Amino acid sequence: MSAAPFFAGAMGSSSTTTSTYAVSYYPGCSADGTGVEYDLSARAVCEALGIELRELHDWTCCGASSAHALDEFVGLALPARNLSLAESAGLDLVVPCAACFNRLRWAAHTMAGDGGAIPAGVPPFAGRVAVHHLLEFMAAGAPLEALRSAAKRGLGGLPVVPYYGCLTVRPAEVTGAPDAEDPTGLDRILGALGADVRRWPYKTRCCGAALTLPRPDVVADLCGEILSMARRAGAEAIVVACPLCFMNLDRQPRAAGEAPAPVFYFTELAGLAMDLPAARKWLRKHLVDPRPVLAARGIE
Amino acid sequence: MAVARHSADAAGILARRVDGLAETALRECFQCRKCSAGCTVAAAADILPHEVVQAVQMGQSERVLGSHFIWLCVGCQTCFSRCPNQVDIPALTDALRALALASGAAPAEPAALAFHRSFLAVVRRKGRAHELSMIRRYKQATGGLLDDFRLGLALWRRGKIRLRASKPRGRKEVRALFDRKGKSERP
Repeated sequence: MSAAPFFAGAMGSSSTTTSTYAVSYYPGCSADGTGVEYDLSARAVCEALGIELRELHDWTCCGASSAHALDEFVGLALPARNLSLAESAGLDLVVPCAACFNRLRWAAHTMAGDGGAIPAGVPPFAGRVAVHHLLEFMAAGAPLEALRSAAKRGLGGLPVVPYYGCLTVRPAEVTGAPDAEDPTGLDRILGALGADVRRWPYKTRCCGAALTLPRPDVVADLCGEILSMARRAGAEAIVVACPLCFMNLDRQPRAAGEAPAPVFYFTELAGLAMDLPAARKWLRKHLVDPRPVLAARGIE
Repeated sequence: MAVARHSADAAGILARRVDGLAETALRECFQCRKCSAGCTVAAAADILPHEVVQAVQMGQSERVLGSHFIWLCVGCQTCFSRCPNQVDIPALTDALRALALASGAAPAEPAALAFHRSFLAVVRRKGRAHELSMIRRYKQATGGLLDDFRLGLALWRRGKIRLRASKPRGRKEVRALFDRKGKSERP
């Protein structure tokens, strides 16, 4: 083991064989498909840190960007069903996907604030458990300190830009983000892991989200600008916390002559900085091979 | 609601329906255009968010319901986050899509509608958004089956395409939610 389970001791348990810090975990529908390396790396990093991610039993789709777009009732009922399950499980819910996080958090916000207007048939939720994005969960307090002490290998000063996208932070009323125009959680995590975190103006730009299929031209324009700005900020890679941002950016719609800019999930960089052996398998799933920029910093 | 004063005309009717659906007070808009300045899809859209709000206020239903904007809006929440008056334009856009569908007119961006419908059809059947099923439905609806063949192959080689959908037990509950069978369970 490269990293001692941090929470076993930190949470005051005498047992060192089981983790004592447990949360419910909502993988989201991309977790066994296009976002598989996000899910694998999130689970591996949390396990190494002694954080137990208990997959929410019998979870179903949150509705993502389509349910609320076409059907108001289903737009609320789909996330509410999962909130209801999380409440029964009795643990706070941690969500890696930005869109899932936003829909679940929006539903919790809606149901907590205006119980009288909730349509009949929406699964009940009384607000007894909280919903966190995995990024926000890792970016402060004990998890951040656990990451810092476990990141023994570090990242060799790899220059990166933190890309938050939209739905991890906006709107602040829903996400609880302290500064939705200039969030800092991912900056803190990447700093703790030993990256050179570059300043740039596109932290919360949109990648085009679910226009991937219907309007690939729009997504290519938006992602092309983001990649180009990352390069101009001196970054060699872009770090994300959303499977849709990853998918759109990893396709690399670059201007002619621009070098590729690999994309990482922040959990992958955490795994690399912690020297977790499984990290190599995650990186092989990227369209743009990130291994050359890592090798140049002595990380293989 | 300012626009509701003209409730006898189409302007008021559309504005009230939209205002109710979106739970947002459009009268608060003073046309500062911060929404449009930061709009993700400004370059691709035919009308901009501040124009959508204005058109709704003025009852120009064809202009908004027939617009590309309502289908291009990705719900990035930039406009709502920056609005000095908390006009919830993404929620308004959701309501306008519903009105556009109810009107029976062809959407200005049929592929966007086909995407949402493919996504929801798969979730209704399987409880989760199985990606391959969704893409198959989408391609059947829009044609161009081989458009993204190279991308599909690249993802396949990397083990990122799951052939079989997972089958959560809750899929039956999900289908009931789509079909509103749960409606009578609570008062």
